Amino acid sequence: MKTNSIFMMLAIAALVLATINASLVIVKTPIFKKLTGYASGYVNVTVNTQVSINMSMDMINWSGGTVTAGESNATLYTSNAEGSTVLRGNWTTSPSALAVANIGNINATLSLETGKNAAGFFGGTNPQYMWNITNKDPSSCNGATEGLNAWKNVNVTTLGGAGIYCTQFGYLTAANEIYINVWVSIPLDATKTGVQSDTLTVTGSTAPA
Amino acid sequence: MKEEIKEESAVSQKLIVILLVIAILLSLVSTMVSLANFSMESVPQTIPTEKQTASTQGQVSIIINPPPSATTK
Repeated sequence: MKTNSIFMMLAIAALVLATINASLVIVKTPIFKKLTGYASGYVNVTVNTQVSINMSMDMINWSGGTVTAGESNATLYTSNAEGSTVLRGNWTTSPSALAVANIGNINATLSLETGKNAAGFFGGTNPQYMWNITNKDPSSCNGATEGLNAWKNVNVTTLGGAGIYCTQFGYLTAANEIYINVWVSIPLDATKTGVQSDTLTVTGSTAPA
Repeated sequence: MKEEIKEESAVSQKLIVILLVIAILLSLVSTMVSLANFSMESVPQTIPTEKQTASTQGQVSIIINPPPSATTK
C-alpha cells in the first residue's frame, strides 16, 4: 500500500512535469504562437550590388607631330594628371592619362584590352605601345596580377579574355580610381601615318568574395 | 477486508500505469514538436552575388606627320 502511494506520487510528478514541458513547447513553437494570435513581422532589406565602371578622363589625343629628323623614333607617354612627355618629336599637345573609377557598390575585377598592338597601330621598325596602371587613389587596385607602376605591352584580346590588372578594384570613394598611362614609340619608318587611333576597353566584373 | 485492500491496490496500480502512459505520451508529443520546430527553423542564407559586368572605353589617338625629308621629296 505504501509502495503504491510512492509510485502514485512519482507518476503524478512525471505527469505534471510532462504537462509543463508540453505546455512550454506549445507556447514557444511559432506555429502554435500563430494559432494563438501571435503576430510577428520581418523587415526585409535587400541591397543590390552593382558593378559600374566610369572613365572620367577618356581621351588621350596627342594631335599632330613628326619624329625629329635624324632620330629613329619618337616616344610619347602620359604621366598621370601631369600631362605628357614627348621625346625626339614635336608633338605639342600634352594630354593626361586615362582615369578609371569604380562607381559601383562592390569591388570589381578589372581587365583591359586594346583594339591594336604596336605593329597594328604604327607599323615600321620596333614600334611600342604600352600601358602603365597607377593608383590615383591609394590602394584602389589590389591584386594587380600584371603589376602596378610598370610599363607593359598592351593586350589585344577578345572581350572577356583581356589581361586582368586589378583582381579587387575598390569602390570606396577614397580608394576607387586608377590612371592608365599610355606609352607610344613611333618609328621614323612608321607605315601608318596620318590620323591613327585605338580604342582601349576597360571591363569590370564582380570581384571574387 | 483483505480482498478490499487487494482490490484497492489493483486499482491504484492501474491508475499509476495510466498516469505513466499519459506522461510518456505527453513527453513524446512535446519531443516531436520540438524536433519539428527545430527542423523548420529558418537558416540564414547568403544569396550568391550575381556575376555582373560593366565596361567603358577610352580613346588613344595621334596624328603622325611624315618626316620633313619625306615631305620635301
